[in-house]
Amino acid sequence: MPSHHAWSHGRIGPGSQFLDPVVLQRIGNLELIARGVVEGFLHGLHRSPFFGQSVDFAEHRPYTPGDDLRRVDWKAFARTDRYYVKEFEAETNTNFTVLLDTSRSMAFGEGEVSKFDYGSFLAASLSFLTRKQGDRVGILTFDSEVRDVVPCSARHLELVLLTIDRSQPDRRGELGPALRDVMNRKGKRGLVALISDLYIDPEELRSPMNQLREMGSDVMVFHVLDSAELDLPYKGKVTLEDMETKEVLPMAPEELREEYRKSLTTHVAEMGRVLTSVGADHILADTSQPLDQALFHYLLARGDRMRTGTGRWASLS
Amino acid sequence: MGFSFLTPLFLAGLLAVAVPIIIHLVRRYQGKLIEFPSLMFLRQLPVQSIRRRTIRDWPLLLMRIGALILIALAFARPVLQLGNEEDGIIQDALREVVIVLDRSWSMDRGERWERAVDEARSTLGSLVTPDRASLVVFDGVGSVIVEPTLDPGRVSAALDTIRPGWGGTQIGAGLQAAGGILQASDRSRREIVLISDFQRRGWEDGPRDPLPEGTVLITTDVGDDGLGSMIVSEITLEHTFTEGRQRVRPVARVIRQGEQAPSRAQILLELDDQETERQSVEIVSEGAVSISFDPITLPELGIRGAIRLESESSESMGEPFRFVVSPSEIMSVLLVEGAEGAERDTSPYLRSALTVSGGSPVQVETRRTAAFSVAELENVDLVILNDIPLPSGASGTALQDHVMGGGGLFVVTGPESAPDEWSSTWDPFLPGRSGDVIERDPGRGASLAQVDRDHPIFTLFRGAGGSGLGTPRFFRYRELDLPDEFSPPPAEITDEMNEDGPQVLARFDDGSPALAQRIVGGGRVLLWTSTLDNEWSDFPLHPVFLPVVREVVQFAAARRESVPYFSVGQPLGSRFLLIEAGIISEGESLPDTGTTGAVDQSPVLGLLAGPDGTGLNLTGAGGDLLQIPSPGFYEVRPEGEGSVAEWVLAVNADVREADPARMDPEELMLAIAPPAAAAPDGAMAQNSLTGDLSEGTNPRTVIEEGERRQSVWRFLLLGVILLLLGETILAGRSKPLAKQIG
Repeated sequence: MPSHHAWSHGRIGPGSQFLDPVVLQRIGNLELIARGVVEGFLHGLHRSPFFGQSVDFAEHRPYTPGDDLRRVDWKAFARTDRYYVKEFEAETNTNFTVLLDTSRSMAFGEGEVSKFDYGSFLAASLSFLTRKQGDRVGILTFDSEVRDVVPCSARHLELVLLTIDRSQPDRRGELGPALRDVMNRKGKRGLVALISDLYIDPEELRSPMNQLREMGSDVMVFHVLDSAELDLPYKGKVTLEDMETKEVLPMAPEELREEYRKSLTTHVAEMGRVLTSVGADHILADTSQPLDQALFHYLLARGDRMRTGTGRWASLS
Repeated sequence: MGFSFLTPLFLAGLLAVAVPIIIHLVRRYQGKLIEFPSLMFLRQLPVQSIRRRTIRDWPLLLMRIGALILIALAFARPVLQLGNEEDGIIQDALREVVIVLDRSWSMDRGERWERAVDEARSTLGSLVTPDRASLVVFDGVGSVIVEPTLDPGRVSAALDTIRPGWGGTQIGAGLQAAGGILQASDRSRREIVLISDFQRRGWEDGPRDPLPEGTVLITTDVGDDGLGSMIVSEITLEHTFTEGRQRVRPVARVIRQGEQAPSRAQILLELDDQETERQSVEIVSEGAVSISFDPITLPELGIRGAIRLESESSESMGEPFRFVVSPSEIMSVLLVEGAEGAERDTSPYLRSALTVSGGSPVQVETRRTAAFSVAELENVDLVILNDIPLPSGASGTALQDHVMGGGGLFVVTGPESAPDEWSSTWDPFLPGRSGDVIERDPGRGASLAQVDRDHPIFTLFRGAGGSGLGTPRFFRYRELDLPDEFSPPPAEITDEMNEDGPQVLARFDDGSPALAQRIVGGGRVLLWTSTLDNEWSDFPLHPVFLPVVREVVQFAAARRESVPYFSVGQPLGSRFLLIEAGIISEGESLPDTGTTGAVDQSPVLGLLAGPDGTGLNLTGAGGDLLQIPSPGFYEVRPEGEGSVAEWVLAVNADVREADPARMDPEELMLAIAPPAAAAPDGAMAQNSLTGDLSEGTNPRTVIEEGERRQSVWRFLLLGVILLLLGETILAGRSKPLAKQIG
């Protein structure tokens, strides 16, 4: 498994401090966070060598003072002697639904940012970005069952942010029954972002993912993990308590670290394989890393959908 | 081999050894508790139990535990008992202490008893574990109250339950019982603590068995209070017959003992609980006076009497002196003594014994010639030949007829009764033929060693040392040759009449007969092989002389002397009581079990009812002996509900207890205390003559010395050092492993 550490922040450019989850944690206000993340991302995106390459052109509009000169379509000027600006986001009325895991395990975090904080920032940022794209946004939170539902609507951004803000990862979660519950609700097809730590047998995701596909939705699965979960950094004798089941296990981590990592790597790989096989994106999101990669993948996915109408199938895991 | 510890409390440190074991085996080492999102992957891994890992560290754990154990043992300072000299020293430090406590009647005077109990408790308080203590009490007999025990509390508790009784003092009986305990003890340090008021009479009249070798005798005198008393010491009943009526004059002997005793008192005579006469008595110095009361006409059924002393303020001065008296026939005794002109009077003591008041009336006629006629002997109950040749001829025949007719004959041998002067016609009548004189050591003499206590003569002398039968000393006596076969009886004597052959009733310590009997026809012949004066013995000088003579005389004359009173502690056979009451006859055969255990199976023939309403069953069996414990009037009744008293006996406290004459305890110790045992090395010398409780070797000092010599703790600490070195080496080699544990 390629180290996720290659996806370090700083490669986007200035403004990326808004994408650092630690910084975002200190902001506190979720809307502000979302706005800052999105604008910072977009700002960085313009400076990025990848700019314009992975985002498809949508339409022209007349130039207005203040528009970014790099967006001026000079070919169109040559043809028309008029200044036109390329629009990369088209008003497509896509439905974007966030499925946010609010189970207890999401509350884990060895640093300043817990998985749930990260997932909240991500959900909020994606929602904000979605609205900026002109799409409709909605959210559904779950632990062992669906807790909160905000249907997709162009006017529901604030409600979505509010729902994210007030959600707490304080209940036991069971991903399988929760997803079944999600699937039982007839949502609108569109883009779906599942934000969870995915402590489930990968095969259990096959059915709900297939169901979403059959509905015509594209799915991005953000596999949120803390670096401590990835590394098992503890020393000496410890007793680990399962945050979901409260089971305890005394152990010596140093003895088990290698084996644990292998197990986790295998799990992540298998998760990616299963999700890919059902046409979903699997994005491993380390909570210690900036949110830009996650947002980038969102845009890619949306762009594919805009282009093909059916969504993108490639897996990045 | 065994262990002792000088500081055993440190052994509690051994409990600490259990702590690391418990921690290792029981406690699940949990470490820091950390919340983790999911154990999904960890559960699948083969997590080894920390406990299983620890098992591999047993050698290290054992070394550490071993070091802890050795440290605790070293601090406890063990002493090895190897069964050698050191072990012997420790054993030598252990004491067997017997407290012998006098509880006779005299101990109830003043504060003697309280002082005695305090002294006993003080002795208990001075004991050091593991000294053993036991308690013996004595009055007329010695009794073990508490067997040897390591718990002084048991002895102390027993002291709370004991009070002085009514019995006399027999110091020897108490020491005898204590000697029995020490004889059976396995300890080399043996001590007797004798607490008494040391009445001289209590030592002179009792056994004097030597104490076991090595015994230390410590005496505590609680009688040095100078208390005195005025008491009625005895009552004599002077019988007179006037105009066919029998009258009795009570004469009370009052003694004053001790300077602190009152000198004046009122003396009262009570008959059947009614005061009949009162007199004043004054004794100005230590001495005695006899108070005679007016003669009493005896009713047919007899009378109960009591003589009391009261102070001038009418306060009772102790127990009344009780007696009973019934009408009785005068016994006629013909005493034949030495011939006219004989140098010595052989009969003064005998005459006194016969005529002393207090028993059945005896009329004594004394003559110096053995010339009898049948008519003269017709009304004679008993003929006593006191060291004279047996009569021959017509006198002899008359005397033999007298015997066969039921009369009694008492033959006393001496220097004048040479055997070769006895006619052979006497052989069928006598228990044996008198022989040569046996000379004994003029310093020690002989003593009565074997006595037939089942014989009616000696029934009253059962119990504690025979009440002095062994104390008289006999320096000369004659052999008595018993016939190999019974001599052919006279033709007139039928087989039924000659029922019993010769019987030896008492022997000297060399086995020679002292007293023998023969039943001939209806009469009884008794023969005494020594004199009854102080020519060949000091017998008449001893208190037992009087009762022995009286009993012999009564038996020979086939009379039973009514006893006006008995003393507390005096052993009485139930057969005797039943005969006196007329419930059974003297010749009636009853089972003679010989043991008190079988007495329980004998039928009850009568009841001895006490003044407090209690009763004792009387079986008449040979082994059935009673000791009446307290003063009062007792009634003998036939068995059966509602039976009336057939006989009454009066019981008084032992008046000998009023004798203030005391002995120096050192005198006693010199008499019987064996030489003190050699003191163990390092111990203080033990003084058995000071009367202070010995300050022998403190067992703890002995143990300290032993521990200092052995210094086992050094070896234990060396072991600790070696174990810790090994632990360090082992821990260093298995460092990762040690880290896992530690």
